[in-house]
Amino acid sequence: MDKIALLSGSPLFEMLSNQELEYVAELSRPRLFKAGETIFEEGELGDSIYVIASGEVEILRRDAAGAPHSLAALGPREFFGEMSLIDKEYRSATVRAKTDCELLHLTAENLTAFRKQHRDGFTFVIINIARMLSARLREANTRLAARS
Amino acid sequence: MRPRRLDELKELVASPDFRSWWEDLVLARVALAETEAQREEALSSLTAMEFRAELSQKHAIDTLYRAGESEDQAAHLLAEAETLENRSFPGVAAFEEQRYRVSELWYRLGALETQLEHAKETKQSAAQILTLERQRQSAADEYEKETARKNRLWDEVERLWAKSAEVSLLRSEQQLQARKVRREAESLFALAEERKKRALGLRTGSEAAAAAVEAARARLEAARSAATERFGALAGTDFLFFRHPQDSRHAYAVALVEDTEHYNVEVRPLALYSVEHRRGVAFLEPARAQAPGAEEGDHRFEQYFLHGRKGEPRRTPV
Repeated sequence: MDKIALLSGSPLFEMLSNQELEYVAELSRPRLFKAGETIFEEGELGDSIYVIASGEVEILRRDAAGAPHSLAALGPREFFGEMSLIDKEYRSATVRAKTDCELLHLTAENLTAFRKQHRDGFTFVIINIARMLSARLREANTRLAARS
Repeated sequence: MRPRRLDELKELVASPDFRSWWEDLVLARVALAETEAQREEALSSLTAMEFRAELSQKHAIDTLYRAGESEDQAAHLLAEAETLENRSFPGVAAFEEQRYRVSELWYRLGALETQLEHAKETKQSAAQILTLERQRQSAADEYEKETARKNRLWDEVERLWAKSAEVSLLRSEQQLQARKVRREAESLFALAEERKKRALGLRTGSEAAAAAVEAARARLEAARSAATERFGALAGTDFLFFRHPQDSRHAYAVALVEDTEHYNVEVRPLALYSVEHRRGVAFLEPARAQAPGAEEGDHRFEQYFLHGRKGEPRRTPV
């Protein structure tokens, strides 16, 4: 897997320099999941982020009766797990491999090591996460406005 | 463990001396892996052969028991056949006696019939003829009765002989079966012995393979010790360690393995990492020359980012 090519194309690492991308690549660990395998469960502890190298994952959330509902599917270069990384809460949804997939895994500890070496690069990662969350909030607001 | 600057360490890892040591280490590891695989193969062959020898031995013993059972059965049948044969002898004697008696009666009946015909031809008195007729009838009845008895006696003798013949047939079959099963048991004992001998040979091979593993381990250990002598490294199993020249709490680690599973980063052979002395390789950072200086001692970020989880786990995740 060409980690740097993958990371440079991911919205999570937009604006990072080559040197910063190389360092993130060294800090990341490839993980393989089979189709149907759970990557993490809703309500679990977790402070790591995943970038999809290949394959697709499905985001699922349980309703009040406990039945899972698919919220979204993510594909190559997209990332997930960022919410628990930032707000330190429990995983808000279950993520399951929709197909066989290869992911890059970055823990909070590894990102801390990145911050020690590349403050600006780390700041951009946080800004990129904030952009993603902001985009989702805007989308939710638009939907709410359309309903009312 | 000698202190080394990062640029020195990079030079060392790229040097022909280090590369030659690395090749030795890789070869020693390959040799160890190969000898371990050979030992495992030899051990599994040995275990399988010992098990097969034991199984053949047990099977042979069971078969021998079966041969014994057939022999016992044959002996039992022989005795039964002899008993039947012996029981037939008095029957034959009684039949012979009866046959003689019936023959006597036949002659007597013949004489009475002649007498009766003569009396009728010579026109003897009716009373005499009636007396002779009664005598002939009585002799004929007795002859018939005794003939039937003679036949019954013969039937009994024949029944005993037939039964004896059947039992003899079964006995001969059981005898043959016993010989056959005994030969089968003998060949199984021979097979078990042959397998025991082969297991002995395999044991020798397995011991040689174990000795080869020990030699390969010693070679690998010698390669590790050479890293200490030649480069001043602290030699671990998967890493070589060098002291950080300015920071006694940190060290540099040179990876000697490829591992994507067990460390916090994807470990690649001969990659350089920075490690903190308390956590060691439990947390690897890719080695970089510049040490973090700014904001040293300010741990607000780490406290939030690494330990900032608040509250208890929710009962119902939202």
